[in-house]
Amino acid sequence: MIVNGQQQSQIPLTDRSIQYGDGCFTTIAYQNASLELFDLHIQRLKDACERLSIPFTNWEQLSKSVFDSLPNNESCVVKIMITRGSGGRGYSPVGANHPNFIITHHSIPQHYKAWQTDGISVSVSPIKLARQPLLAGIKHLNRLEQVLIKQALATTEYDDVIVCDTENEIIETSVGNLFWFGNDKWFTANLSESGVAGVMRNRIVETMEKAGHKIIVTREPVEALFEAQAVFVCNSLMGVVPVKNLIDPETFKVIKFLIEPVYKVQSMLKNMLEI
Amino acid sequence: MAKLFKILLTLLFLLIATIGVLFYYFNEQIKQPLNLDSATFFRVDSGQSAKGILNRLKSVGILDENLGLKINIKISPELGNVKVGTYLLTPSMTGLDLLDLLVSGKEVQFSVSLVEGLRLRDWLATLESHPNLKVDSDFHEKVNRLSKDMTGGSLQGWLLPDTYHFVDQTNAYDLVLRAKNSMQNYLSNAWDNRAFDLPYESAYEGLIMASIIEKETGVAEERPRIAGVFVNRLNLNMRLQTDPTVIYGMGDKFDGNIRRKDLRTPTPYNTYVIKGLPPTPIAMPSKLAIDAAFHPIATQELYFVSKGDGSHQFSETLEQHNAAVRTYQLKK
Repeated sequence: MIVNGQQQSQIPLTDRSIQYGDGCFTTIAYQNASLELFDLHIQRLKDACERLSIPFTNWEQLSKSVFDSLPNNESCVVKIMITRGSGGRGYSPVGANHPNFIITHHSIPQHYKAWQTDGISVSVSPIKLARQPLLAGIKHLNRLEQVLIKQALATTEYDDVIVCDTENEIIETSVGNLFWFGNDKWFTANLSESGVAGVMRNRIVETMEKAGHKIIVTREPVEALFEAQAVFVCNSLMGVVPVKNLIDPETFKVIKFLIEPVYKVQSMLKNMLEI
Repeated sequence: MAKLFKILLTLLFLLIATIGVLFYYFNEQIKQPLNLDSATFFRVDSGQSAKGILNRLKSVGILDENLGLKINIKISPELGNVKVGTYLLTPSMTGLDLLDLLVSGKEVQFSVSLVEGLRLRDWLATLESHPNLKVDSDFHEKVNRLSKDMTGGSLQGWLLPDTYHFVDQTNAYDLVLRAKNSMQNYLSNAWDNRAFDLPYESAYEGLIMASIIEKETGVAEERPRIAGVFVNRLNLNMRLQTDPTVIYGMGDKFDGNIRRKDLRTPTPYNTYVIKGLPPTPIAMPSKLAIDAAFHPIATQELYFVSKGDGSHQFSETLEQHNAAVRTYQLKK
């Protein structure tokens, strides 16, 4: 565990991340001796700091610490948090001018490899995401909605759940972003009111558009997913994971999707990353 | 005088010897096995004479020689009385066996399996593509005409699943009639011997029920239990809510998935929307499904869910059912 470049596992209780969840984070996969999409992750942290007005400037030291702390010959997850630091009075961040950064390492979940080939079974979460355009898309440290979603998911047999907003429009899943395929087109959710815009999601949109596949960023009711031919979930750690079955929580009917179109996306992405 | 007698005696002896040798030769010839590596179909069409057929057999090499058989026909003319048909020739047969077979008229039997749970159109396609059935140009027209005469205005459900045997070039429509007659007989017998207090107003309603049972389970022992659940639902005026009827009502729109929209879309067959039974059967029900429909087991159960291995979990209450759905249906 590294705080502000130093090996340590303590941070003041006055830190606003503890008090208010005032900060942002990202998680990066380190495998095959490479920090995947590192620049994009740093860019997302910069964007988040800017939108939250966190005056973090120590980017060079942050990058150096990340690379210095990488384990030898081992895959891991590198999590980077930036907090607004201590200070301010009550909610007001005025005067809190010394942000902190925290780097932690975790193991990459073992089941992701199998998920990528076999696909997963998902349902739709009964927990809805609030709409808040000022926070939408940011991976901030206030993740109570995800905690509730994961809590509900833990009582079921599903691998993951589709999460909608309060208007029942498709947003994401409990851990990643969603893409769905129908009428020869790929779609992904518009995240301007809720949800987290993942690094992998943005990378996929970019890659597929370069390859000539227009991605339609849209707001759709959850029923649109039931009509889809193929669906996948993505994030930086699991990559592109096909959804094999979607269980409608209203009818309990299992809707089966094609996996082949998702394999094509996987290989498109793989080729792009290699170039 | 004695000399002449001697010559005559010698000639007679030679003649007898020659006849004997020839007799032996031809008798061996007709007992020669056919030149075949494997069993082969052989067709006799109308207007073909035995002699012509023997020539054909020789020219295609199945017989080396045919003179012996021709002589046999001359001696026993009934051997020339070959019958039109398709016969199965096997390598162990002799020329004489062959001739006997063609005279016997024992044609080779072909068969077609009309499988339970499939629909009328599947069966018609099976019949039409069978190489040994004759399909007249008005086949569909005749089937349609027959359909109109059936209760329900459709042949759906009205043909009994079975393996049907027939000789080559049988008319496909005749098989349809046979399957229809078999079903009518079986159904009327089942109706006469039905259990008491069934909620069906006619044998046809039982046939409709049987078709649903057929589609709901492949496990033989479960059929009377599923019948019990559906009979309970009919008695309580509950909707049947059975997916195969939804799928049937969707026709070609069904792509393998049943969505919530499909459950809500009214069709004459959607038993999530309509009350009671659909207007016609939804498939060809087997004898076992018909038996189940007319002899449901007594049960309080109103629900069942697939366990994923073809069998089902049955429940009396919605709470139990929902728990079973969670256990089985939602499993990965």
